[in-house]
Amino acid sequence: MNNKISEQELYILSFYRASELAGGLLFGKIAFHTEIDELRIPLTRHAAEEVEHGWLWTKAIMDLGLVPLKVTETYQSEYGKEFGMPTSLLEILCLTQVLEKRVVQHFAEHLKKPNLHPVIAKTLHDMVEDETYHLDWIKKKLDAHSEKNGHEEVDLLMKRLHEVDEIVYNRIMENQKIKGYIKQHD
Amino acid sequence: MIEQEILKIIKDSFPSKNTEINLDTPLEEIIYDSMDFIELIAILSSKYKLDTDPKKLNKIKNIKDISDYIIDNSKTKNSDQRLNSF
Repeated sequence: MNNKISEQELYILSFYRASELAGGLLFGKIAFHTEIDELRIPLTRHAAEEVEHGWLWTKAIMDLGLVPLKVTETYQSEYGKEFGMPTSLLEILCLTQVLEKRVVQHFAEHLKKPNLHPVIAKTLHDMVEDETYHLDWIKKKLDAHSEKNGHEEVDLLMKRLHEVDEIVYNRIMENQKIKGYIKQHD
Repeated sequence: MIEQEILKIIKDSFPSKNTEINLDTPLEEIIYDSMDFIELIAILSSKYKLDTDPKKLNKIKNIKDISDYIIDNSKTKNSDQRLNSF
């Protein structure tokens, strides 16, 4: 098997890795500080899985004979620029719900690209399966919050975040290296 | 004095970043990204039992603003609105 991947492909894999690590660090900090007893376990599990995903991308890059690039632009940093600093768990959970859906959708699209290296295809496939748990526990918490406090708050926040997501995703796709990769594989 | 308490919490929580902080220290000299900000809010909302108010929090520019925010919002935690904090 030819392990060679393009510079653009290495960038996109490194971007995935950085975004997973950023998510893991964020959830780890919240799991560490939260006062909400019933969230301590799912937040910790979520953090652990995000970091594990960061490792799986690192391993995939390693298996391709390469070293991950230092990437500081992540899904999270781009959301932050557009949405502002999240100020509560409610905002973090809504943001994560929107972001995780986008990531699953994006990974599924990436999986459809022709001539995908088997190492990358397997990693993408494993990620899509794992992200389902993240969507599930967060949805349950948001539904419970809405049941108690009315649906308006979550609905408004989700509407705003979907708008933010559209802007951020389009901006990320305009990144020259990601654009270059997509062009190469279309 | 709540201001001194907040200064100590910030010094203890972000030790490598602020040797000489005071009430006028801008927020960006204490925290560098959204993760630091979330951590700071999580620590303070836990310590002072407050629900967070996104509109007010996004206007914070320095430690004095943080202190004023806490004085205005402490003990606002509502058990039915638990996700509105950290």
